[in-house]
Amino acid sequence: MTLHDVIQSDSINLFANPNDFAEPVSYIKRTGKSRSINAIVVRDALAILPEDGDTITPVFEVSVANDITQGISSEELDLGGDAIAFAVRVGRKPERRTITKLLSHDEGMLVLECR
Amino acid sequence: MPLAVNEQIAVVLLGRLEAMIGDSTNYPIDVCEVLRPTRSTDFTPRDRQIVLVQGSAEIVEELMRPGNPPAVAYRQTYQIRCHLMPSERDAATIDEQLNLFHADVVRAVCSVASTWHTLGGLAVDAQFRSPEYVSADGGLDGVNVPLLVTYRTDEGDPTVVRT
Repeated sequence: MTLHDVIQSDSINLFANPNDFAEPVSYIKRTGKSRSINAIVVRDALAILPEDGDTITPVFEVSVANDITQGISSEELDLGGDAIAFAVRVGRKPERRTITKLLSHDEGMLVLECR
Repeated sequence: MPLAVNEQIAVVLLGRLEAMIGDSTNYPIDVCEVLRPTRSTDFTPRDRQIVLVQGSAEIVEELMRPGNPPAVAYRQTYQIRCHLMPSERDAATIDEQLNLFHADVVRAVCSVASTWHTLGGLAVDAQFRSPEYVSADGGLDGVNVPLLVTYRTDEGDPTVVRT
């Protein structure tokens, strides 16, 4: 097994494992198709939406495996309308949040900004 | 409950913008939703979305009217924020879509032809300011369309419209 394989395996089985760091969420493509995946959701405070000047929205950092079945593949991701549904506040019902930025990515994980 | 005049104007504006939803014949940008943010500003950006935000307000001394009670003139800014998030695979240029969005919004607000600027008899005048285009920075694109609305109310009751 190469280091490349280990990174990919760890991203799914360790980091994106709901028994460890992750939680189940739904990935909703622009077309409306959706699938269940696991993600690490960092719930931040309100932040200014820079494109809108004075509009303030909640911002979330969501990490998922770079995988077309158990996460989101960097190839399929469309920053023009893809979204993730998760609980905006722990314990609440899942809400659809648009993926606004791809903050970083590698072979193992994608780090996304959702608002 | 009587609404303040600037709130009544916001309602009229919202109605004119909401008329764009589902009317892709007259407004080809095909707006998906029009909203006003709540206290927690709990909305998520979407493609072809309009967010109507109340901006700053000022008293316009030179448009005050004497009387009993006197009429106070206000100039209220409304920010019509138009959000675009086209697919990364969309071949249309973003400038083309922004120009279309801006044009559609102006046409929708002015849809009542010669009296659009009174916003249903509530305002003295309304003027568009220069559109403010925003760059994506990896997020959403958009154009802000500021609308300055001048209106008068009773000095002691901002819910009463004065001409």
